[in-house]
Amino acid sequence: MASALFAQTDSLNAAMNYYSKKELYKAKTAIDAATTNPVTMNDPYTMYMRAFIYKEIYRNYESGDKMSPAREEAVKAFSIVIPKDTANQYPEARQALKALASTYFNQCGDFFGPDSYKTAIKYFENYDKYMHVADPKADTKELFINFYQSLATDLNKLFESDKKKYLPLMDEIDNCYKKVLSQDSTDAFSWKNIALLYYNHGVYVINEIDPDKDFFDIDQIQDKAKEYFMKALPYGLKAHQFKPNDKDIVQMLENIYRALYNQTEGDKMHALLLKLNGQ
Amino acid sequence: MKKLFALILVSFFFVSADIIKFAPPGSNDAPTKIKATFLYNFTKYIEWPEEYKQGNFVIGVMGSNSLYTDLNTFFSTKTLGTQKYEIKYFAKASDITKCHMIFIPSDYTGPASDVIAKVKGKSTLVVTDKSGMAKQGASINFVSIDNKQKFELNKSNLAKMDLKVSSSLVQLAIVVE
Repeated sequence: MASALFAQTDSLNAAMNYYSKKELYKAKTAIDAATTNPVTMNDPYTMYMRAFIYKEIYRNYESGDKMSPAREEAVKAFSIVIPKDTANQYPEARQALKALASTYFNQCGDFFGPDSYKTAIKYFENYDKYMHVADPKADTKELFINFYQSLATDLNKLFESDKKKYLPLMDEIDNCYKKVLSQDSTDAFSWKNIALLYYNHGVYVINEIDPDKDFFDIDQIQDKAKEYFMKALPYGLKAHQFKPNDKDIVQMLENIYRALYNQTEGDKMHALLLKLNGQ
Repeated sequence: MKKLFALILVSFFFVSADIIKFAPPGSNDAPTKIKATFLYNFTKYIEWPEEYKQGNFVIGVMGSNSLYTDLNTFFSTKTLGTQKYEIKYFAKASDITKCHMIFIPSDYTGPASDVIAKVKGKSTLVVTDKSGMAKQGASINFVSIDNKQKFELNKSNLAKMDLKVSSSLVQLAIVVE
């Protein structure tokens, strides 16, 4: 019985031993065994060792692999160890997790593009999540805003390049700006950019009209465009609320109102624009 | 155990907050494109007398230089049968010369009645953009209903100008007496 128990705890000891000798794959085999062993699996130190072994495998063998399985295992293990470390016995674990989190952030930009931007989002979410596991008071707000604005910029470029092909990206661009607004609801530029996204698309729908073919469908086309103009309006008004003297926003609102045939409000915005221009 | 990565964040993102620009100049004014589409189709679904089927098809625009430019661009590549479109700008009613259609925009500051009087007895389609004008001499009047562009059509005014309107155009119109 005693020797069986020893054999079970031995895999954890073996993992530590291999790790200290930098025999990482042998350490991995041993810690995998310890992680599934009922005697050691609940020992916080098992998960602690597992985190560091996988982190070192990532660092030594998989740092060039953007989909590194070792990194995934390491962050999972750190995420189990750290919340239980209420006495802050493992500050090095927190530091190591922050470093791994930063690798996700640093790779986000590599996944910008129509086919992989969802991975960029997942990696940023990983960064944000693991930074907060490592330090619940971590301030990621600036990078959060930076990331989603950058992604919106990139997706919008794609969308502008081929609006038919990339129509589904509209929702993603909208979502990026709403993420920014979740951090700073007074960010007039995000409100404005959502408004412009929809206003411009309404204009696009109308500009796509072929006068020789579409005349008898013009009512439906106007309905479609109107839907986008109506969608743009509340965002435009929010932008105006936070930057009442911004001439571009006032001009945008005038255009939205005129596109909706609301001459009264369009005229008000026009008058305000003249006033802002000192006329 | 204590070997750590350096916690370095590579700041590769370049952000300009104001990234979405207006649709390109000239295409911003959605109502103008809609109106131009209507005006163009009026010329296709209304028949002018024989003597108007030669030379250029002239569309007069009252008092609005910017609209004149927009319509000029819109019509520049189009023809009506063998007739080329020609857009003319008239500052006031007394400037008006022979045209097939005359458009009085909502921001025209002169009296519309002068324009209507000037083309009386001629086959000039008068298109206005002001509430009530279909009952005050215009053959077609733009109206906005439920945030969309529509048009009123006065059949008796069209008949007075010796203009024949297609039934399919009538179906799209709000017919006023």
